[in-house]
Amino acid sequence: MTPIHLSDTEIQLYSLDKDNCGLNITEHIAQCESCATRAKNYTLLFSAVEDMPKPVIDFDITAMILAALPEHKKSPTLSDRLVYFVSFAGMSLLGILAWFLQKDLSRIFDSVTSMIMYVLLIPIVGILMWECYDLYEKYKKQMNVLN
Amino acid sequence: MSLNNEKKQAEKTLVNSVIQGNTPAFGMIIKHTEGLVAQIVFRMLRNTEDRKDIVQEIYLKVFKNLREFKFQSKLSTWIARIAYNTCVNHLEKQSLVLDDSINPAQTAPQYSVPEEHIFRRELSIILNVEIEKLPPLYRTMIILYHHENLGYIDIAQVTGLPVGTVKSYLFRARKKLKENILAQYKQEEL
Repeated sequence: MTPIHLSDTEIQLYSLDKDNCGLNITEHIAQCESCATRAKNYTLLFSAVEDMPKPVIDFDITAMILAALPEHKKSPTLSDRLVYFVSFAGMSLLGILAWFLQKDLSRIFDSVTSMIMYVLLIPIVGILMWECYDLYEKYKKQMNVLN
Repeated sequence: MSLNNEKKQAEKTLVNSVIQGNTPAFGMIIKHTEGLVAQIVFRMLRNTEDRKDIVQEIYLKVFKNLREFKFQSKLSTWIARIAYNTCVNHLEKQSLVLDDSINPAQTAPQYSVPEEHIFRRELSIILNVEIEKLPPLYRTMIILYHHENLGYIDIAQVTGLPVGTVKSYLFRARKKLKENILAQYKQEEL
């Protein structure tokens, strides 16, 4: 047996893991009442800490956090980017054409009679209205599926 | 495939799902880690009003930085580290000291083990009080090690301290806690 008492670190090592703390520590504690008492204090302390009730968050943390999260910004896919690019290129082309042909365009509209204008406008407006209605119906169906 | 790898794979799937926009999946991450986060926040901060704001701040940080998580540690350890750092920042703002009142050279008074059944009953009452008296870093370490069963390496990852320092702090914290409890017990006996 070691003639001097064990250090606090050694006592803790013994209380945490009796089997792997070293033979000299185990032997000393087996023969020394004072060190055995100190080890017992630690063992009681550790088991008391383990038995302590766990703190509980007394509010619905998940709901609170999910409500506070920023909306996810979906990054555009490759096909989305292609659509944006083609649309932009098309609009630019139309703009450039309109700029170069502005005199000719005004001449065309001056020469068109109001009768021809109505003949052109009525089907265009009709088609546009039909497309809008069709889009709305599709949207409603999709929402029903999602719900 | 080992259990650890399976867990890691499940964590990866969950994290990637949140990153790709499945916000409700973040709720599962919260459910898995709220116990550990509560332990850290409740042990580090005494003010109950602050705790709610801090818990919210922690999870918003987790959500914001989820892309930065490289799966080098467990997700729970990474979240615990964010929780710990957020609490430390909060305490620093309030100019509170993390590891005050520790004097390792102090010698311990020696008391015998009181009657065990009385000691056990009173211990749980005194323990709660005495744990609260420890500096925040020490009580958090004790709880993480003895209550949450985190190892020294995990605690080192959470606190950002070297493993050797964690071991040394834990030894001091246990010693101080034991001394305080025995002193308190002795005082009540008189």
